[in-house]
Amino acid sequence: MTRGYFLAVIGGVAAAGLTIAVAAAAAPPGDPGHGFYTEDQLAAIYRHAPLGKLPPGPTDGVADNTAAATLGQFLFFDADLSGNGKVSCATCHQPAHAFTDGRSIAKGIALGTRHTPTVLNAAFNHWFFWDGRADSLWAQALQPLENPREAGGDRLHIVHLVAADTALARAYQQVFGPLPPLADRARFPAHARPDADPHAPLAVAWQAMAPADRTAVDRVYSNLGKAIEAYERKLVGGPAPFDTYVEGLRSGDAAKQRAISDAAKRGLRLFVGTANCDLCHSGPTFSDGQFHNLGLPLLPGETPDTGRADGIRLLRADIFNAAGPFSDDPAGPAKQRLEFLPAPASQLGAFKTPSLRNVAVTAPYMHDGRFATLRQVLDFYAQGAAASHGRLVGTREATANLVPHLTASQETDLIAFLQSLTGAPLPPALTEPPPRP
Amino acid sequence: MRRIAYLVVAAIVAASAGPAFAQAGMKMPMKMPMEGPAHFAATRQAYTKNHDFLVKLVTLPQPIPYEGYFDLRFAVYDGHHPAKPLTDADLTILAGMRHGLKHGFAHGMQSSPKVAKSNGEFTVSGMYFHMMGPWVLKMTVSEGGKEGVAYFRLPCCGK
Repeated sequence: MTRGYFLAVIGGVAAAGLTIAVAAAAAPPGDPGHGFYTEDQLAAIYRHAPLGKLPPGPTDGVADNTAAATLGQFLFFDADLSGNGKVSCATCHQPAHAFTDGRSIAKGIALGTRHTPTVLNAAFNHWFFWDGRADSLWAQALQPLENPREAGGDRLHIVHLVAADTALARAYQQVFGPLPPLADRARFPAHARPDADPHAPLAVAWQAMAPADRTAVDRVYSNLGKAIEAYERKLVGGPAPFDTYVEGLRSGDAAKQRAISDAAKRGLRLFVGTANCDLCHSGPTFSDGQFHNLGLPLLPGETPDTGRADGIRLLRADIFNAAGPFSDDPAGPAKQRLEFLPAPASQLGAFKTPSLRNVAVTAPYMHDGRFATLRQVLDFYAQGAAASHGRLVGTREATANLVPHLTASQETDLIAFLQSLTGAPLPPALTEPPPRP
Repeated sequence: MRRIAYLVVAAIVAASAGPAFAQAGMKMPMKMPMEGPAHFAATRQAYTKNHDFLVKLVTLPQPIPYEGYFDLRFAVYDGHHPAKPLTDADLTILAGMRHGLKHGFAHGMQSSPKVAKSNGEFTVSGMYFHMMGPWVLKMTVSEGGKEGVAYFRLPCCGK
């Protein structure tokens, strides 16, 4: 080999190396995108968009009934259902805040115990609440109505309210058929509900009712939840810039590939790549729909929260679960999910993976709303196991350790990406209290 | 001379690529295990660690569904006489992702599968993989006062 040949090889390769370096640094990520991501990353990106069709709600026979949705929308905004006449679903699920309340901890009649999750796109979930203690949207909707810290109402008050209101009763009967005869106050007291405390006055009144009468009330009450579900199934966010970008990646449309910033594209590459975010925040909703213990140390004065462990027990005991007598598909797929529930002890301190769609407009974050900003959330993950010092509930899941250290600029890119997940706003017809049916 | 030229070339490429990845916001080398769709063949049979039992995976859905329930079917044999099926054995199963293994699968599979024995084979229903990547099944076999543990690796879940 001659010296000249040797120098030529070195020179050529050095030039090539320099070209690679410059290209990688300056490569416009959307140009046309496919060179910027690995094959696996592209496949992962395609799994996140589009949001897709709403899954069926087989346990709710009126899930897609328009009249039920209209009734449900009225109930969603109706504070008369509450114990003090001042709290509705919309008190915590405020349309102006992407159906959250902007608070760390929800506040209805009294201060709650957890952060309010959004109901936007909630119909894509299998499990509801941070602890998964409901397995349908309609069963979920019933619990806050009677929770003393939330709406603080009771099912007898609510069914009487509907039956006594001519317009509401007509709207109900149009969807569900005749209401049971509720006028006899000896059989159907003005106020009653089941309660964990069997000596509570409302629980005593409930237990004093005949079983058949309790069932009749439960039927009406569950139907009202199904109407609310029919409305909430319409709360599906419009396409986000990220969705447009993915359309552009698939089609090669350069204009659509400019739907998100270069920083967001770098953030996306981290999200589906080395940062391992999409292990849990997977699929079109950016959630695996499952439960994880991130090892969040208890805050000063915070009451230990067992999360999914008690959620499983409550779900099994709930007469409104998917396999129960008020389900419209008690032998369907949701029953299978109940059959294979994990052991509660294995889920101690685990909470549901939240969707990341609209995450930039649903601060604060985590089940207890401890982080005010997305950067604080990323800082937590980037610290690894060191972030879990202090008193924990249960055991930090090893998956959380797969997030690597993130530099400030990487966090900035990830935040830019997360901001690209904000969907187009819903039409006012879905976000405002409707006229009385 | 040729070898020196190759070494110099390799050094130049390495030196060029490092800053390139760094400037593009990528981490190199990766410090964390990369998870994602797993591209490897599933374990089809495994001996327990004490070699007392051989466990064979008889049926496996192709591909394994992502975020969907599926069944597996196993057969158990005498590890010292691999042609001899052990139809009276008992089988229990734990599953989780590879990275959770050392933590005893805490927060592993979010499902409690059921094991049913029929015609000398074991049907495991209620398997559910909610994360892409390599999953590990920990199979505990007991029979005739002996017990052993075998491990299977399954890929989740296609593209």
